[in-house]
Amino acid sequence: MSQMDPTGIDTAGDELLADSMGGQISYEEASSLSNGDLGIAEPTQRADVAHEAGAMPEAPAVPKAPVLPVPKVPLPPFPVIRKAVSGRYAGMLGQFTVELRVDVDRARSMKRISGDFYQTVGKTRSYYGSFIVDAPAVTVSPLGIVARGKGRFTFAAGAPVVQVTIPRVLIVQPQAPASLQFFTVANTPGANYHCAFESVYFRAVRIETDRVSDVTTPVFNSYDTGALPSGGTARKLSVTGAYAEAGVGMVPTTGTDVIDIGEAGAGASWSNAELHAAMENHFTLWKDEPQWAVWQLVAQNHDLGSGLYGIMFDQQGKQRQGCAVFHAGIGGTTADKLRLQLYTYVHELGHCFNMLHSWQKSYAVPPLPNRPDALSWMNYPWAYPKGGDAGFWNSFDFRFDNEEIIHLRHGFRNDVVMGGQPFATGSAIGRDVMPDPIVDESGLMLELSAHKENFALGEPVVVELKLRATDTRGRRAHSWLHPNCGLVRIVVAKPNGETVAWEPLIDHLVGRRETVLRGEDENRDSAYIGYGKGGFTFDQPGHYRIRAAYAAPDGSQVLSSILTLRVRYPVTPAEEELADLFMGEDQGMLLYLMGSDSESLRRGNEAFDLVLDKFGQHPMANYARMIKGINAGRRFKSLAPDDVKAIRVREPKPDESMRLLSTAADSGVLDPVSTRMVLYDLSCVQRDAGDDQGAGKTLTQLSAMGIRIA
Amino acid sequence: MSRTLRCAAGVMAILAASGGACTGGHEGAAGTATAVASDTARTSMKLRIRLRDGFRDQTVIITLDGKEIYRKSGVTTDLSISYADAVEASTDAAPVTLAVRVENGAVASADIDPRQTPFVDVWIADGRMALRGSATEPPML
Repeated sequence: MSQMDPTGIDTAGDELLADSMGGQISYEEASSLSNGDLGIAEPTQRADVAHEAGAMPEAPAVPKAPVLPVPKVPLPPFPVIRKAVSGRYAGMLGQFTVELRVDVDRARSMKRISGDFYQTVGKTRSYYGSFIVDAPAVTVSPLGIVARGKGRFTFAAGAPVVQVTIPRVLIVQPQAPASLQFFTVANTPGANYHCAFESVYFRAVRIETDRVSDVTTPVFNSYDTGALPSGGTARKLSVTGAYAEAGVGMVPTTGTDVIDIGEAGAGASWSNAELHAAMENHFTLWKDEPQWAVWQLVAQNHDLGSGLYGIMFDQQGKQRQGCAVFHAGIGGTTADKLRLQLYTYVHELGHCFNMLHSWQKSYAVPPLPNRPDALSWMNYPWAYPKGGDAGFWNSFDFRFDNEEIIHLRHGFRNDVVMGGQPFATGSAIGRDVMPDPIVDESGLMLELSAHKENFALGEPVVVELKLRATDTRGRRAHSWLHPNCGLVRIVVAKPNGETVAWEPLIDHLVGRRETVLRGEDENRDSAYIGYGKGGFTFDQPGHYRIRAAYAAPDGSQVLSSILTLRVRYPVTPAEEELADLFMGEDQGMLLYLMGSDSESLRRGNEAFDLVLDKFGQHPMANYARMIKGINAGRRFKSLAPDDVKAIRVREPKPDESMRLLSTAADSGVLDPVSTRMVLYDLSCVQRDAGDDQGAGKTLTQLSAMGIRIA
Repeated sequence: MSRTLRCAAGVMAILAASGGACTGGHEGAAGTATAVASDTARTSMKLRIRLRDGFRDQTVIITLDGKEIYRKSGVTTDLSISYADAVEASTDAAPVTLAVRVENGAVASADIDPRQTPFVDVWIADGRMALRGSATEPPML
């Protein structure tokens, strides 16, 4: 194995997966493995079921003496009960140990595999890195479960494809070990770890709860979730129980302590600094380093008053190791107070696991979409958008939402562990714009680019697409590259973490048209993606990640590299007004259609007129010139409003068109693709207006941009 | 503690430092909120304005009926409680026009009746600012 790559191929053994599995289970066991606890219908030994299913043909009737009718009593089922395989495993290979988490069955399976590597050198052991497989292909066979997929790693993994194989055993047998096998993208086996089962919990965390002497109400123990209306099943739930349901095993320490209120100072309330000092003094497990241990203080008052129910105060140094709850606001023994205590205790600990509030996930680094209507411990009931406090509690099932569960179970170790990343950094597992393929043998390469990296808010974004062959023998390819034609999809990850597919306003149904790309051949096209069926794509300041996927004739999905663009915050009042003037729905439609006389888009045209009148010197005005110039240069047909059978024709306005287009083309503001289009349109208008000399000059200008005019 | 105090006729503001702001009548962490004696007698309504999510090392300006009552740089939200800072103002006008502006950023204003909604929380999400008034102090955690 490579010294620095725990997935590496250097010491990959010759053992085959089948061999490693074969040593784990007997023939009898293997032949009777089934799918039961995977949620797949489990074969049973019920005779009536087999009969109904037609598995056994009905025997011919044999005449018998009549007998008294006997009531039919259904035979009890004899299900083959097998253990689920999900949970935490541990293995070792050379200097590396791995903590493997397999999450493919049991309750609320997140269908993921993840793991953390630790490296031992001499007498020291340190964290090395983590991986996660977001969408493994899970195959269930009589031999067991195989889950495979390309992982995301915190380090450069030489063998990034992860395969986990686990035999499934009978309920009475010990849990089987897992085989963790890495492969390179070329499918060469890398490191293989034999991992023993450790726990059904994906993480194990020690928790210490201390109390301040002036707390007048009992420290929370448990709440019957059926005591008040709720959105789930009634159960007696403690703080550790709530985390157990999320797949986290919380083990209370024996270091429980009562802290003298004198430590809080004269005001008998706690500042964050005092809370931190108390943690250092009273948390028996406290170290200034990442560790799976957390401290929760039950106190009476915080300096911010009784309106503050709890706080994760530890936001200096190695953060997130401690939190506090304040009984001045939540203490009591009534059902609603116990419910509030359970919620607050779990909520604050959630921050220690680096989880943000439901509505502020976009502040994570990297961001995720906000989820203000999440039914989660991390939401505020009183801010719930679907009915406030009552709406929340009536629907809440006392659990984290799925994205949070994924973070808790599978987040990269330092993004989750107390004392790891600073609060809000890595607080949610980001999703790739589109995951990289494990194998790409399409022989094609798609490039996605834009003429600049940052745009004003509201400024039209045009991307250029280029497709070429990487296979020296050449490759067949569609000629249609514009996303309007449906063969190229564009996916955009917004600054708030939301990932959207850009969809054209108008789908073009195109016929089959293919070329063979060889050598330097390229298929090129460009597309305005600022506005589509979903409205404005770039509707907020921040960084955007864009990826295109091309559907090749052989079915391959060819992905572009990821293009990153930044949309600037409007700084001046003029930029703010321009953003508003460009970001109306009508304006988006006009930009997409390259102008229109349609009465229904009148407000958009008025907005562009205002741009030209008021901000004529601003660079953004050239986009308005382009749109209005192209539209003015063409004949526009519309139906007369009073007679739908009559066509009204507005003739071209060449003078207006030439004036607008020539200024836009010379501005240097438009992207090259738009500039070429403007020059070409300008030359046509000039020619139609009899200005052959002007048209010739424009075409020469166009030729200088590398465009051959037929 | 850096403190800014600007008073205008009919409007006064009591500011507290970030992390120890005065909310719900409680004292700040780093000092006691200070009343402005000259206006106290004729003011009868308090407006408690809390800056919540979305502030990142920014300069925030708050005005009541056009008079600046708060200007502070480096305003940053503590994401664990969605709270950045607070200001308490007294006014004898109702309603008052509350305007909050982030320098080079989001802005919002609303007419507030302190008798109906003495608590106003200021939120910024997706680049947009919202002012949410309430009759009682919304909890934080």
